[in-house]
Amino acid sequence: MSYFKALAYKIKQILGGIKMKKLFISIFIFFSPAAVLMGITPEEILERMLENQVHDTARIEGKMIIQDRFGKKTVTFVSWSRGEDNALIEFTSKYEAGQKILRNEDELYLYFPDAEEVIRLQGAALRQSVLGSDFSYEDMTGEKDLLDSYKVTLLGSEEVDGHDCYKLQLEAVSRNVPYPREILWVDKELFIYRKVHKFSLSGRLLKEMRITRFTRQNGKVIPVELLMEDKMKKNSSTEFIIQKIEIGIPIPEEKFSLRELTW
Amino acid sequence: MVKRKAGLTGSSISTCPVKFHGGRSFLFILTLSTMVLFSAYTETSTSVDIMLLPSLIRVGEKDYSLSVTGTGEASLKAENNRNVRAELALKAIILPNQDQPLPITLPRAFIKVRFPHFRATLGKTRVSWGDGSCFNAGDLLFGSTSIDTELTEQVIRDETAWLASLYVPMGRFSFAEAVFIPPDPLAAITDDKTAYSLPPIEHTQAGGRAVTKLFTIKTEGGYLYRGEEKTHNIYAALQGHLLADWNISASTSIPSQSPEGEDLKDSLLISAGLFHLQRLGIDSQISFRLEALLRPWGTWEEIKNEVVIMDSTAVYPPPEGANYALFLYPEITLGLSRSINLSLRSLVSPVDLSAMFLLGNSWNMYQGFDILTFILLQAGEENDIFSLERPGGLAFSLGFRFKY
Repeated sequence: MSYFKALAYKIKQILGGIKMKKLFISIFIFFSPAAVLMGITPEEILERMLENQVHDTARIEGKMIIQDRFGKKTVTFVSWSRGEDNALIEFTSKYEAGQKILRNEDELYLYFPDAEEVIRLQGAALRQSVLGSDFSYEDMTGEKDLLDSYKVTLLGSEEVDGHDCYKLQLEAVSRNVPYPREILWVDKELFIYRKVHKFSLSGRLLKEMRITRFTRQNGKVIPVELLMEDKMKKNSSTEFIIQKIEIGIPIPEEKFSLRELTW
Repeated sequence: MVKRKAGLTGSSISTCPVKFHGGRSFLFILTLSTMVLFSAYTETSTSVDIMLLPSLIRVGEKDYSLSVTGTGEASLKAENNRNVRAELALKAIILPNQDQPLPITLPRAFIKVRFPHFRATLGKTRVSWGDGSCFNAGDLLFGSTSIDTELTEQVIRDETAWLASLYVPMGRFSFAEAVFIPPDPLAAITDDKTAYSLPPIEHTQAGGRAVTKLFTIKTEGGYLYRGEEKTHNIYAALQGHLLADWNISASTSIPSQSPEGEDLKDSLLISAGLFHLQRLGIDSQISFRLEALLRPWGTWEEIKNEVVIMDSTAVYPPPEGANYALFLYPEITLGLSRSINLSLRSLVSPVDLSAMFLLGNSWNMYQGFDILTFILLQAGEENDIFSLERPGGLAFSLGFRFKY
């Protein structure tokens, strides 16, 4: 055991900032009989999918179109992010103009310009819906650590819109997730999900998410248009559109500070 | 100086309204038109926020009044300059009494400039010290410690003042801030406008605060000298998370002349709050907030003012409730769906066992448009702080809010 620990430590030293969890997943993949038989494990599929979604740095201009039976509401925003832990979002649509969200590890700072007030939230507040959309603060600010919250199983292969996909099942191991079960169809070639089904505890299909457009940048395949439909209500959906994305650009650490939040 | 807010529960605003009559109304409209035209040709954005609340208000045992209260605010913000920000906002307050002139306030008029190592703000704006949604003992600048507030507003405390401030970042989550508040020149204008004199410089307020994060706890402390009162004021505030988000602030003051140890004790104010949000299913969530304001050496016994007879009618003046030792602010907000919110806000006075409850519903039907419903009820005896017998002790409002 100590040999493996020492080996893991040595490898970690060599690889620099790579997380231990990823390392163990890689070791598991290497030695796993399933990996030998199928060539890939469900964890690795997820990891490769998340690599397309989490960036060292990114600046995004985008919008969310929230539709219900009374019509559409559009929320526009600009966001900056560094890895999984730091993100700053500024809303630019008129109703929310100037409101900002700063994400730092497990805490959120909300800034309301009219009151010149900063509110710090921790815990479950991270899973709060953003402005009535189908996306939570975690979704928008980069909480992509699905492996901590879900047990992943590979159910097989299926085609979605003519694309060969891995069919993965995610079962919640924590109560702090909005959906206890999800099924993902991950494109075997591009490692982006083509379709996601989100289920209730009783197994009822609640929401369906599809990637309707993606782009390639810096060797990554990045989803830029997502559509989340509420399967329980007619005419209810949230469209998430990235209008402009720059990844790997220099963003100073100070961007994710109270100074920037209150500016 | 008129101090009031439109709405069901509030009656205070720290801005200084200018009373508009015929000619000045024209001036107001002209200013608004200029703002809109100006924004069309420059890098600015305009927004207008109108809230109208027709209300049925209980004014006597069998008397009810039907009136419209509300606010209209136009704001012009500078955009696209990375280092300079500015905003000018005008707010009109619609009050039930039609005989009163329309009060127009200037809630925000400021320029903010970012220099390489610090930031400066000059103008009419707000600086929020301490923590707390309704009660905040750390708010030395605006005094979020009274029960005279407007619960129907989205943001309960939004008072502003003419000020100058200097913000110096000292790391990602630490900064120091200096604030200087000159005496309000408009406060020197008498109601009949027959006298005017500049306020004395001694009435200036000045102070500063430092904010940092110690481990996972936000730690804040500050000082303010209040020139008009001639007092030194200090505060400390902590905010963190343990099962729920929590905050606690404490402040005290001492006169600059003939200070005594008793002063520190008598003026001690403590506010504390808890907040927790819980998801209920997919689209619903519920949040709980409880805040308390404690004056340990305040009045713990109920004060009963004597009945005053006016025009053969018994009037029960409210007690000097501001000195009561304890007030509570519980709030429950239930997000029923993406666009419908129910909330129950309350101000509770445990000393005289009276309370005010506000049950509210907002429905964000279209973009920027909300349908608002409020039911307000005061519960207590005639001369408690809150009482059904007081005008406005029971009210029902149904109105609209639109921001565009």
